[in-house]
This record gives sequence, structure tokens and C-alpha cells, in this order.
Amino acid sequence: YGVVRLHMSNPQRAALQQQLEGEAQEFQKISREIEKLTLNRQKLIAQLTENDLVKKELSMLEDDASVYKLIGPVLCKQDPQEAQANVNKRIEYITNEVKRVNTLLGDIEKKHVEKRKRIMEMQAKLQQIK
Amino acid sequence: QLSSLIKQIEEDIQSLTNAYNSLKSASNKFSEAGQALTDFNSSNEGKPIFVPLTSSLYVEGRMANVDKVLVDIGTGYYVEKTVPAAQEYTERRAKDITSKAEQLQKSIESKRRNLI
Repeated sequence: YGVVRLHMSNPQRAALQQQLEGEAQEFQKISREIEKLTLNRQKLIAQLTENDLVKKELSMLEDDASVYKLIGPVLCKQDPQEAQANVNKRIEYITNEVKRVNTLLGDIEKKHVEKRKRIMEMQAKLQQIK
Repeated sequence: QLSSLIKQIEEDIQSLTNAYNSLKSASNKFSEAGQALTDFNSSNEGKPIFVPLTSSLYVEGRMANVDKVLVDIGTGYYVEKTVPAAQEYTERRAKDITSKAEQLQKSIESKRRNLI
């Protein structure tokens, strides 16, 4: 009896094991995505803080102060109002980018948790068949 | 499981300490810049100076303007300020960064206490 049962569940086990490996690989892929997104988010937040700083400095200037912008190797004179408008626009853009990355990160983390649950269920099933 | 938790906290402390050190050195750079500005006074007007053209080529020149300096405020923006205003800027930045470093130091301490 025992021998017959073992032969019957072997291909079943092999299929389950292959499935498990596939799920594990996808899990790794999701982990890497999470790492990439987190790094991206940190970079964006650093840019945001830097731009906030520039905005503060510009707002403290008198209206007749000279502002210069570094464009490649050239330092060009800029109108202070224009500079402030540019920095504000950049801050808005970066804030939106951060929001976008945050939502993406939330979604992918949910997928991550589900994947982990699936993998543990499959591992438990595999143990039972053994 | 506990030992892996300990390892995690130790790694956290290490990276926080690294961040603290880089904040400290950034703050030092600002105070050094402020210090250099105090040497930028009227007695230097007309004095010969060496102007860097590249990282290894300097050209002899003469000090033309000792009243205004260009201050790099980040993201490629430079602002013309008078020397005292620029000094006040470097002081302000140095103080900001030092206070952030102090906050970091407090978290490092509390993590260390958790470790014990």
C-alpha cells in the first residue's frame, strides 16, 4: 500500500515543487522591485528637501538681489521671481512623483505579502504529501 | 531570533553613526567657509591672487571685488550676497545641520539603550 501511494504522489510532488520554485523566483523579483522603488523614493525626498531649502533662501532675498543659475558650464543671470517660480514648479513635480512612488510601493508590498502567504501554503502542502 | 534582532539594531546604529559623521563634517565645511570669509576684508582689495582655471592650472590675477560673493544655495542656484550676509548664511546652515546631527545622536543613544 505504502509503496503504491509513494509512486502515485511523486509526479504530484514534482509538479508542486516546480510551482513552488516559480513562486519563489517571482517573490525574489518583487523584493528587488521594492528595493529599487525605495531607493528611488529616497532620492526624490532628498531632491525635495534641497529644493525646499533653495525656495526658503530665495524668499529671504530682497527683490533687487542677483540670482544666477548654473546651466551646464554656464552661470546665467536669472530674474529672482522667475527663479522662485521655477523652484516652486520643481517642488510640485517632485511631490507628485513621491506620491506616485508611494502608491506603487504600497501596491507592490501587498503583492509581496500575498506571495509569501502562497509560498508558505505550498510549502505546508508539500510537507503533508511527504 | 533574538541574536538576529541584536544584529539588526547594531547595523542600524552603525548606519546612523555614519550619517551623524557626515552631517558633522558638512557642518564643519560651512563654518570653515564662514571663517574664510572673515579674511575677505577690504585690505585685500587689489591684492594679487591665483585664479583656478582647471583643477591643476592657476592664473595670476588681482582681487577686484571684496564686497559681494556668490553663494551656492543648491540645485544649481547661486545668489549674490554681501560678505556679512554670506557669513550669516554659512552660520545659519552650520547651525541647522548641527541641530539635525544632535537629533540623530539622540536616536543613536536610545537605540543603544534598547540594545542593552
